[in-house]
Amino acid sequence: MNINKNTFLIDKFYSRQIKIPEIGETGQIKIMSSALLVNTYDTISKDVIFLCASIGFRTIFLRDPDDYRENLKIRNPFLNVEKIEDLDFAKFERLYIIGNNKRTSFFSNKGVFHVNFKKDDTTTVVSFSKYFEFWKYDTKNTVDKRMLACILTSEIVKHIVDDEFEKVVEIEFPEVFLQ
Amino acid sequence: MRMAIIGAGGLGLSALKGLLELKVNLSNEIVIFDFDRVEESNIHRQIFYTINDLGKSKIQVLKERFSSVENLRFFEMKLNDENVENLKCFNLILLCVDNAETRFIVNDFCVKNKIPFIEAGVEGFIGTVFIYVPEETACYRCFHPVKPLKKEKPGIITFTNVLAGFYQAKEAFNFLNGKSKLIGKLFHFDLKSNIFEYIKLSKNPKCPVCSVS
Repeated sequence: MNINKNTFLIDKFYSRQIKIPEIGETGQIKIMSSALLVNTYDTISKDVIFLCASIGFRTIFLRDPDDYRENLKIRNPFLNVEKIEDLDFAKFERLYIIGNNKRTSFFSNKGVFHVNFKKDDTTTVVSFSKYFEFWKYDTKNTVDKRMLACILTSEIVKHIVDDEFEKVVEIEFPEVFLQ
Repeated sequence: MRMAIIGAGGLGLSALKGLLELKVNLSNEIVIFDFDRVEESNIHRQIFYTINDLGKSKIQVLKERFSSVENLRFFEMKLNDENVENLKCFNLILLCVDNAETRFIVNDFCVKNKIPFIEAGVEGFIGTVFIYVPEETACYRCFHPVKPLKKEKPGIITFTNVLAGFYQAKEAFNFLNGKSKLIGKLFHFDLKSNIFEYIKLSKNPKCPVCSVS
């Protein structure tokens, strides 16, 4: 990691973000050192990518069977992200997976989504099983999906900045998103 | 129907994006007010500014970016007691600022002129959104009777801003369609503890603004 460049970014770009006690400079460096792998490029994960990029993730990997490159050309919002690549699984210090995982969605309940953190020596897997349940309620309203992306991103950030964060978290699905 | 967005920062731009996605603009004119310039701490989280816009007027940047979008207007102006009269022609106002001074000016004007507004505030992982409906709900001063002392700009993280801004847009859409569920309540969320709740708001009989008017 280039320390000088990071110091510059923290001082200039993330000056408001590091004021948050839960993040601070230490948390910001952890975020900037983390790699994000997004499995499936869709409405929610697209927003999670944007949010993570804006928060300071410097390396983002995309994995999608469809052709997402055209989408990327149009949006191009990834300020300060060093790499956006299409890669298969590899060894990362931290690895985050977001996407349509039918196995986890099977366990979801109406009105509740689960955020699961499964960790071994090299990899952390994050899966959000509420996706399918959520879409049953609202398949048209992208604003609701964007708000859900905010909640999911906050879970990722909390997990990174706080090593003691619980591995399995159950979140009550806010009624507001189901209106 | 004319709608104003006060503030073109993290909240205001998210609200604008939400309104455009909900296609509120098809039959409504939206006017955005701001006076600020694009700073380094803005561009990583405020979706419509890039590094090439540093130092430029936010309103000028947005004018260029949205030149092809119908029904969108932009005004460079810092609201104060004298020019707040410019808000008289609006049917709904989205208050997306980060300072108590502007909140007080807009609240007092809206109560006096019976204009509904939707206010949002964020700090760290916490955000609130509430709607003021004339003669029906509490106003901002009912629960903030005294202007707080000026303090340093709070810590901000993108997802709190975006969530609050999009919620404002959704609530504007619901309100315009007569379906608001926020009337008489404050939506409070804390992404650190995963709290999402509605807090009932009652009019303050001793409110220095709405109880008098």
